[in-house]
Amino acid sequence: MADLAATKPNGAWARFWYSSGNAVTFGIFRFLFGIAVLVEIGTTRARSQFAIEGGFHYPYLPFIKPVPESVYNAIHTLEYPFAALLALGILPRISAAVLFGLQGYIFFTDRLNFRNHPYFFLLILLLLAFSRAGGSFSLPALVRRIRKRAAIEIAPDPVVAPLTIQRMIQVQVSIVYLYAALHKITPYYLSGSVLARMLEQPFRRDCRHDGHLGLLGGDDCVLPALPRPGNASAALGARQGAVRHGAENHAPKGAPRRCFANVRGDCGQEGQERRIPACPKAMTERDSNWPLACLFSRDKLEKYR
Amino acid sequence: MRPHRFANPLIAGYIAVQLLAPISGFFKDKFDSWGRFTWNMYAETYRCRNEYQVVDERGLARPLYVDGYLARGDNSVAKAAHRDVLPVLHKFLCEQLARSGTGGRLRGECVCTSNGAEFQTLIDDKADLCSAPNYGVALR
Repeated sequence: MADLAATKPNGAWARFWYSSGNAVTFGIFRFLFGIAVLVEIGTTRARSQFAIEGGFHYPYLPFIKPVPESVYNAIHTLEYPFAALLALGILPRISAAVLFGLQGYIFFTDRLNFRNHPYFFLLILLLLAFSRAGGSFSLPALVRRIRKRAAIEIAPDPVVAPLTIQRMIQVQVSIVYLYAALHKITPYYLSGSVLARMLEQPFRRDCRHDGHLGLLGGDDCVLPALPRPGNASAALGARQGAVRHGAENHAPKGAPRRCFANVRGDCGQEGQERRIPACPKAMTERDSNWPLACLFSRDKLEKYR
Repeated sequence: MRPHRFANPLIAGYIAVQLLAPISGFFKDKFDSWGRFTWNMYAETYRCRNEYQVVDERGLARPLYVDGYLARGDNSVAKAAHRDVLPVLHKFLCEQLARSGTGGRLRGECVCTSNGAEFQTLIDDKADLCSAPNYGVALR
């Protein structure tokens, strides 16, 4: 009995991590994950631009330096063939390792680049770099099967492979959902308010193209229309593209671009009035029908201080 | 399958790191940090209004558009509106002001709300951010 108690946990551990099984499921996962990486590259390129040198940076480690914009674009372009190779199961370990290196560099260049998707992708790429994910549901496997059939005219045996990495990915995904669920056990989330706000997002107008500064996901007209910096020197040391983005994309459609003021004062105009929308007198802090600027107006704010 | 002799420690170590790293998310709120590595996904709403001004010797305030210094893309300004990032951002802005030779004081205002219920002011809006302790970012 004592022997059984001593060996049983070990046995369960070994059975879970080191058993072998059909590799097709893992191959399908690798294929779909490769497709997901392909799709995500464009998103990451658009949203991880703190990796581009110039402007403000908040690095994890000082030796991981931001890169010029051309290198930044080249890194993302280089990811496409390796993601395709991963999806097809051609050199999957090397492809996963290269993608891990390229995406990891961009990710760890700046803390403000953090998003859950790239972080999760990095973890899976790391695991795939140690896997035999190309053994099944891959182009090489298909070629092998065709050759084998042509040679001996019988169906090949199903591929059996160790499930260790597959198990680790399963555990990793479980951990993600465990913590995501724990964070959601709050009265506010359980009331449905967060989901309600997210579901209504697609139906909101994009304030950033309407002269507003959309903060926190760009889903709210949090500020009344602000004049934007009007020339490339508006923000000192800012990268050119960022200023251009601010000046052009934020300007109301059809409105003349106004040069307001900047820290150098080389616009030469100052003190234009802001248009503050009229805020209702009876307004609760949870009423999302009004611009957030109303919630943040001085008189309303006092009671929260 | 016969496992490699380092397989068990490697698996156990990986799982331990993945279980321990997100725990910090339960001790820091959204005002403190964006919530990196915590898997806090869409569990709460967080909105901010932040503005910066440079006040010259005559007392004239001119807006400083901080998004001009940040990377393009969504959430750039929002990701800076946390207690862990704001001091670093203010230090950077002060360095830029000094480098440009622009005189004056840097003032800022940053008010954030978590879940639309709790409001916090993260910056001392009366202080000169370049000379205030912790660059004017209010401690918790």
